[in-house]
Amino acid sequence: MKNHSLNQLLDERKLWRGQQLRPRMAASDSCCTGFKALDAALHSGGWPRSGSTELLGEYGIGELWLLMPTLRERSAARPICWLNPPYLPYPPALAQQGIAANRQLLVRPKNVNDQLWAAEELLRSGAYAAVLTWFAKTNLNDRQLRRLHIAALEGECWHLHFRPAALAQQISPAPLRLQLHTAKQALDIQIMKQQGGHAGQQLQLARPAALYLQQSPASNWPVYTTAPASNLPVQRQLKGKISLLNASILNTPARPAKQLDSVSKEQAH
Amino acid sequence: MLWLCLRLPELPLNAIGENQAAGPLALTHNNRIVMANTAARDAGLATDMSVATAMSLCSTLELRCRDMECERRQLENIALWAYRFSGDVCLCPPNAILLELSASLRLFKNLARLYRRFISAFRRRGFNVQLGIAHTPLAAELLSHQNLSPAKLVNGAGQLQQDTLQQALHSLPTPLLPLAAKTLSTLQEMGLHTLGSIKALPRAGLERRFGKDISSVLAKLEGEQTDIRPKFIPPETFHAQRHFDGGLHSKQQLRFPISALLSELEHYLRLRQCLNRDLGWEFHYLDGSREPWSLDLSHRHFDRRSLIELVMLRLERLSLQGAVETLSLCCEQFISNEQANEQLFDTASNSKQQEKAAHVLDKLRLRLGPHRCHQFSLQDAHLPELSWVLRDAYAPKQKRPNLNTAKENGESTHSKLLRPNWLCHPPEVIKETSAGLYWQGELQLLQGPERFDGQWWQQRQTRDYYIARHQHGALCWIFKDCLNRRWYLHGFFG
Repeated sequence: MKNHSLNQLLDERKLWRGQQLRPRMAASDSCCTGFKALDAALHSGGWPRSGSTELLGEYGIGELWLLMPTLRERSAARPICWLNPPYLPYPPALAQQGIAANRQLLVRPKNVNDQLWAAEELLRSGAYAAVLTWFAKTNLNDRQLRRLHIAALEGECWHLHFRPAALAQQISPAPLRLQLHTAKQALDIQIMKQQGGHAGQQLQLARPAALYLQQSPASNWPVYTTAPASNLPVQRQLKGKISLLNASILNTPARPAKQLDSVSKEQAH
Repeated sequence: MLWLCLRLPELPLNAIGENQAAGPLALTHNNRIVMANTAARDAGLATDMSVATAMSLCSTLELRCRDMECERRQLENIALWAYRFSGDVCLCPPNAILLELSASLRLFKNLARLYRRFISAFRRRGFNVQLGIAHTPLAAELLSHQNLSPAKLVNGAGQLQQDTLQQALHSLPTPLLPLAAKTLSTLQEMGLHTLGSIKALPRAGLERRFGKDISSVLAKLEGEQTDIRPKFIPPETFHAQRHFDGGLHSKQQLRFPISALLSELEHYLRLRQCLNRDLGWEFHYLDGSREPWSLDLSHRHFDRRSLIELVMLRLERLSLQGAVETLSLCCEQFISNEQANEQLFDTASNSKQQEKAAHVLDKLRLRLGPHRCHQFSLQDAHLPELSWVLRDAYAPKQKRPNLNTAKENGESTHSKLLRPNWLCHPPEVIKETSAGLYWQGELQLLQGPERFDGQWWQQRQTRDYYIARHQHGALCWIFKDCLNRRWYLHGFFG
C-alpha cells in the first residue's frame, strides 16, 4: 500500500531504477578504456560502443592520448573519421601508436550545416568505428545533439564530440560526458554524466613521464674548466698501472709510490 | 536450332514516341506517306500516298519526317533488351530482330511461357509486335509477317508443333520471298502464289529458269544452306534518353525518368558484366540549349535505389534553365566486375562495410565538393610536415599484397621518438618577449633540443625542436628555426 504510488511511477516509466540498467549495459556495449582507474570509475566498465560521448575541455591537453588505446583497438575493424579537427592529426605519431594512416578519413566541410550533415551521414553509415567531431559552431541545440546521438546509435558508431569546457553546464543528450583539465603531469577527468548510476567521479591519469622529463637548463650543466694535468683522472689511473707494471717486472713486493720515487732518486744519484 | 523473329511493323511510329491515342499522324519520306497511325488510317490514308492527297483526305493530319537514325537506335535498344534471352541476337533492318532460342529454352522452361513474356513486355511498352518462329532464320523472318498466334504453333507442353509449322510455311505468300521483283511477278503470273507451290516444283528446273537466287533462298529456308547473320554485339558505351513533349519543369518530375534510365543502365551493366564509373547526364532544353552534368562514382556494385538518391542530391545543386525536353544518360567509363575470392568467414561483414564506406564517401564528395575528404599516406621525409601527404579520399579497394603495407599499417621505424598527435600546419609564429616565449600564454621549455636538419637539396631547413609546457597545461611541440632564429609552434601532445 505504501509503495503503491511508487509502483505507479515505475509503471509509467517516469521513474526507473539505476541498478536495473547496470547489468544490461555491462554485458553488451562497452569495452575497456585501457586505463584501470577510468574503467573503475565508469559504471559500464569502459567506453560505450555506440552513441555520443562528449569530451569537454581545451584542445591539445591529452584528449587524444586518453582515447588512443580504444581507437587503436577499434580502428582494426573499421576505419575512423576526423570531422573538422582544430589542428591536423599527425599521421606518423598516430601510426606509432597503432592507428594506421590508411584507416583514417579526414573530412573538412566548409560551414556548420555541412558539418552537421556530414557528421550525421558518417555516423549513420555504419562504415566507421568512431567519428571524432569538432563543430565550428560550438553551441549546438538539443535537437541537433540528439540527432547526432541517434545517428551514432543507428550506425553502431562511437561519436566523440569534442566541445569547449564552457558548455559543461548545458544540458546534453549524450549519455556520457567527461570534463578534462590539465593537472600536474596528468590529465584530470571529471565525469559529468554517465549511465547506470551516479556521476561526479573525479580521477587523474598520469601522462607518460617521458613527455615531462625536465632537463635542467643549460646554464646548470657541468662545465669543464682547464685543470692541472696530473689531477685528471685518466692520468692518475695510468700512473697506477705503470707502478704495478714496475713491481711485477722487478719481482719485488709492491711498495708505496713514495718509496718507489725515492728508489729512483737514489738510482739517479 | 530454333529462331524467333520479332518484327515491329510500326517501328517508325514507335521510334518517334507517339502514343496511339493521339490524333491522326503520318510519317513522310520524300513527299510520300510512309506510315500512318490508326486514326489516320481510319481517315482513309494509305502508304505511298502523296502528301497532297493525304492532306486533302484529312485536314487535321499531323505530318512528321521519318527519322531513320532514331529507328535504328530503337531497334538496337530492343536488341539489347532481347540480349538477355539469348546470346545470339541478329538485327534484321529495318524493323526486325532474330533470336536463337534453342539454347535458352531450358532456362525459360518452355516456349509458351517465353512467348507470353515477349508479348507482355512489348505490350507494356506500347509496341505492336509480330512473332515468327522456325528452324531457320529466313523462315522465321518470313513467318513473322504472318504473325501466327502462339496457341496454334505451340502445344500445351510447350513443344513446337512441327506439322503446323510446315503448313504455315507452305501457305506463305510468294511476294514475301526476298527475291528480285521481276522474279516475284513472274512467279505470281505462273500461278505460284504460295511457297508450298514453289517448293513442289523441281529445284533444278527453277534454278535454270530463275537463276541461282531462288534455289539459294529455298535452301536457306529449308536449312540446307547455312545462313550466317552478323551477330549483334552490345555497344561499348551506354547511351539512352527520354523525350518529354512540352518539357518538364520541376526536378521532382525528373525523378521518374531518371529511375527508368538507371534501370536501363542496370540491365546493360548486367549484360556486359561490368560497372560504370560515371554517369553523364545531359539536359536538352526546349530552346535548344544543352546542359551537361556528371557524377563520378566509386561504388562497388550497382544499387539503383541508392544511386537515385545520389543523383537527386546532385540535382539539388543545379537549377533548371527552362523546361527540359530531353534527358539523356551516357556512360563511357566501365570497369569489370570485381569478383574477388574472399575468405569464408568474417569477410561478409567486411565487404559490406567497405560498400557502406564507398557509399557514404560518394555522398560526402557530392555535397561537400571535391577537396573536402582526405586520406593520409605516410612518406619518408626529414621534416615533420613532409612526412605525410593528404590525398583525396577514394573508396576502399580490395586488399592487395602491397610493398607498403607494413609502413601503412603503422610499423614505424622510429618508434621511440616523442611525436605530437596534433600538428599545426603551417607552424604558428611564437613571440619572443623578455619574459620568455609567448603564444596565447607563456611557454616553458621542458626538454630538447632535437635537431632536424634536412632538405638541403631544396632549401636547407635546420630546426631545433623542444617540448614546452603551455601556461594552461598543454604540452606543445615548438621549434627554433636556426636559420632565421625565430620560434614556431608546430604541434600539441594532445
